[in-house]
Amino acid sequence: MTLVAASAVPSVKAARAWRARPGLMIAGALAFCAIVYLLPMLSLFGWAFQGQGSSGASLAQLSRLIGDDTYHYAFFTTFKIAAITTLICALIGYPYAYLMATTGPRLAMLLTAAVMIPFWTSVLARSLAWMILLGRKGVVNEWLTGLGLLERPAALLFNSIGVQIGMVHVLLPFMVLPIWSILSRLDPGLPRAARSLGASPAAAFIHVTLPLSLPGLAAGATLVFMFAIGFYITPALLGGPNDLTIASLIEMVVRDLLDWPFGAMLSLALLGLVALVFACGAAFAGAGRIAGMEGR
Amino acid sequence: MGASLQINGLGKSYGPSQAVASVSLDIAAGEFVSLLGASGSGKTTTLMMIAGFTPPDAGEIVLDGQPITHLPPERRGIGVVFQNYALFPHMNVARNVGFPLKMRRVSAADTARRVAEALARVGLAGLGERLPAQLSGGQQQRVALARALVYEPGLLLMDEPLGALDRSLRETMKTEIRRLHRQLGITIVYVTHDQEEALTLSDRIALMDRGRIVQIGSASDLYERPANAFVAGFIGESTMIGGKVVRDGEAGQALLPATGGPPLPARPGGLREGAEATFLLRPEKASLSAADAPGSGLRATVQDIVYVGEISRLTLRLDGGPELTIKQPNRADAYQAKIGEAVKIGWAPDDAVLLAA
Repeated sequence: MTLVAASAVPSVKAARAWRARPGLMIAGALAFCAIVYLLPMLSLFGWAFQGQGSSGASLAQLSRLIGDDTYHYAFFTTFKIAAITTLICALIGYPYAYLMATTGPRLAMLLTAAVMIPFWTSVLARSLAWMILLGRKGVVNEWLTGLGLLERPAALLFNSIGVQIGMVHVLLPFMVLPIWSILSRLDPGLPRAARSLGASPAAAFIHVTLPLSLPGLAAGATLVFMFAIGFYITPALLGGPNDLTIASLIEMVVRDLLDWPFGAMLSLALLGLVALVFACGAAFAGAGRIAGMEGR
Repeated sequence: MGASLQINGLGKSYGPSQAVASVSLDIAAGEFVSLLGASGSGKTTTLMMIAGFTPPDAGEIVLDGQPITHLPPERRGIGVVFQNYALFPHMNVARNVGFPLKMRRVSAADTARRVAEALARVGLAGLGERLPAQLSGGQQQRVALARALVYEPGLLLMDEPLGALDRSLRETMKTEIRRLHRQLGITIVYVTHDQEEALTLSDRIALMDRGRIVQIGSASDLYERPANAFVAGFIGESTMIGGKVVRDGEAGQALLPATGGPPLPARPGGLREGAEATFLLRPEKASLSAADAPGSGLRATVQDIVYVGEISRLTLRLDGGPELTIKQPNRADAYQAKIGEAVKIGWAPDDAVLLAA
């Protein structure tokens, strides 16, 4: 037996060698990750905690961040926008996902396409499209005034309304898909059993369907919130001067003020916040589900 | 405590395909009735219409004298045990069983007492804190039963409840279901594709095929007096031979096989002489003896013998005629034939049935 295995099947031997050192198989990928992700991350840390002179570390950037109200305001704005976006996405996304999961196959396909096609389109293109739609002479204002709902065109652009519309549109799929993923795998016998046991359709939803789909809602909310905190393009294009988000602030600090150490500190703060949100979401929904790996 | 159930002319179509066609059933309070049939025979659709999940196209359903055809499921007060149990995975056993009471706004103290009683009744006392995922299949089945019985419905519907269990557990649960039925006096409508389950559990069996009830009756009705060849073929083993009805002796009848051979005596049915018919003989009804033994009988040759433990299954060819399958007990006092041997085979004419072809 040993003889045969050793002489006749060299490929098996090679496979065994790989198995003995699995690190070898992913060495290339690891190297790529190290160069593309780890090194920049380390230099970010380096800049953020660089001392004033040529040597030593310093917390100067951190105290600047903590000490200045302007930056607090940017963080507050970012959180507010992210929270409202998450809430609106949940309010629209849950019923949408529910319909997608419970309706007939044809309508479900249509609904899926309606979510996925914009999802595959560039964020920049979509935000520019909203600029055209929401402008003072844009399609939306023309309809609203044409239908007599508004006397004068409303300001839908370069303020928080524009930011919310754009961000909800971009981030809605991240809410819909995790919820749909759970609802579509939910045993339809469960709400049915609840009905047979005396629950009205509403009671069956509240006591059975909703609690069982909460992990999907949590995963979707975490995703949307994480993306919303770091969002740059949409607030930058559709927002006004009052909608200064952390991402816009970083861009300003790095590109206009050329203050790389402080930009690095702001980036790290943003990263920390995203990690915190992820940790909260993971505690509730499971890390795998948020990362899209369908952890159960 | 059991409720009576009348179904009149119930029908349901999905597009061009008719799932249930004019099914009528009259079930007495406390009766155990099985809907037996292959998949696609309409048995589950019928059950779902009784439960209220599938709106019928035609017909009406009357529970204890009250028409319930158009009531939503939650207002029918019927207990349902689903094939996969449908236990709520996010609730522990006690909350699962207490769910119907919560929906009926029963007080917390009453709920606790009745849940404990229901769990004790199915042999799960003390397991209220477990989650469904921490229970075995048999235990989950018991929880589903307790949950469907805790609000004391008059009618319990069961949809292939033993399908997911292994063989030994199925036997235990069958005994359990029979015991609960006897104890509670509840009416049960039980859907299954397993004829043995239907035969051992039910007072009456409704055999369904292509959306219709082919025959309804007791287990022995269906086995001994099948209405047609479909019923005979579905339930139990049988030999069926086509031919023409002829007179046999004074008042008897027999079937002259189309393939040739001797007339086969059978119980006189409603068929007139000369009619096309199918002769039906259950394999355990015939007895075998040596070719030169005294008494009447038909001559045959043993074609094949399969030993299956308590019996042997023999294939015989009647001289100049068709083949018959018979079962011979493996006992020293039963005649043990050999392959190729000429033998004599006989049966009581009352044990053979003539069915309209």
